[in-house]
Amino acid sequence: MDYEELLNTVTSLGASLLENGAEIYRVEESMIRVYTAYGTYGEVFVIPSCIFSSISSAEGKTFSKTKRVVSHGVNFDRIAELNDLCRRICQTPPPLGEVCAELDRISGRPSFAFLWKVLACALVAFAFTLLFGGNLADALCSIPAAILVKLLTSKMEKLHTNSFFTYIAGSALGALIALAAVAAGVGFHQDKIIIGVFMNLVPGMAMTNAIRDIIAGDLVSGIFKIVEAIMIGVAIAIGAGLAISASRLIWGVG
Amino acid sequence: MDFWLPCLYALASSVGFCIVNNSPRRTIAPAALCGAIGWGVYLAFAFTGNDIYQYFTAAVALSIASEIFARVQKCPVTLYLIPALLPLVPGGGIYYSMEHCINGNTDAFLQTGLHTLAIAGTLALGILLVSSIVRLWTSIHSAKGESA
Repeated sequence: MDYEELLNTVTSLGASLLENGAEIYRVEESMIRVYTAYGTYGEVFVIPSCIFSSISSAEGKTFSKTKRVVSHGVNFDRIAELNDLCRRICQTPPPLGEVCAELDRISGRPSFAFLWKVLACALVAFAFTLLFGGNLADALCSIPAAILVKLLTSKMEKLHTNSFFTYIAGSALGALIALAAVAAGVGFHQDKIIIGVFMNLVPGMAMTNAIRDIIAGDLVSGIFKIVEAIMIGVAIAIGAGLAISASRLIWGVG
Repeated sequence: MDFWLPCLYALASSVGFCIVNNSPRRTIAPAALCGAIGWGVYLAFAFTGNDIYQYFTAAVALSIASEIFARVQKCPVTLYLIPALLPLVPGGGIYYSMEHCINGNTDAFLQTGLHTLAIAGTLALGILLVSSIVRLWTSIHSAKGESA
């Protein structure tokens, strides 16, 4: 048994789970189960930005690895695939080379094209503007706003802008477009349009994962994500607040 | 129509959120259905006149639906839970708190802000309750399997 290869493979499996937005307990449990499936005892500690993992060989030698995880994109498809891979490994452990090949295949799986994601953001904004009581004109105004906000935020994410500032800028842009639409007489309720656009930015993901981590007993990671959720909530409020106050001061609308 | 149309909007928004987060295609329809169930239960409990109670029952209902679909399709439960919860996340609360804040209505700001936090806490409680019961049930179940 090549313990170093096992350690590297399992850590990169855990890292891809974490990068794609899995909960902390899922990462820890998956890694420990895979170690057990290969007949070793592994210790794993995961926080949202780092994985610490160590195993002991049959001769009593210890191997350990720390892996820093930066990306926090969300990709449900990969989580499902990785979860499936772990299940298969636990049933009959394949040679480690095959696991590596599977990991490469999963990280190369196609995701929805960017255009689809932009259109999906537009759909979310459109549906929410109607859901919160806007009329059809408001809902139509929210579509270009959501598209532009998505373009801006994904551009800023590519440039590695910090997420707090990205959310402020995104929400400010959305609010400005909504105000402009209402001032031009195209839309009627600025609040409904802005809330519709907001729903693409709200921290539903951070909130849900925070709760699930806390249930599983990972209080450190749970607090990390609750703070993240509150920060995002505050950021989008600040962004829209800035836009509305500025337009009141400069143009007297809002 | 006052009941079914909002459910349809919730369904559409959950579909959109699934695509943004790149859900596997087979989980999109069930996840969207969970979103519609959540909003449907929220509306069905409007008679209580207390929206905290509405949010709680909605969170419980959509968590149960998500857990069931996750078992059926053998996928992580978050794939259903996160898109389904999205329509209930208090975006409106965040907006109106901010609006009261910049208008200088400190009382209204505090009231709306605390209400928003209460909603978030209620949703958390609903999910927590269902997930904890499911975890308990699975450990009882697996303990039985081991002893048998």
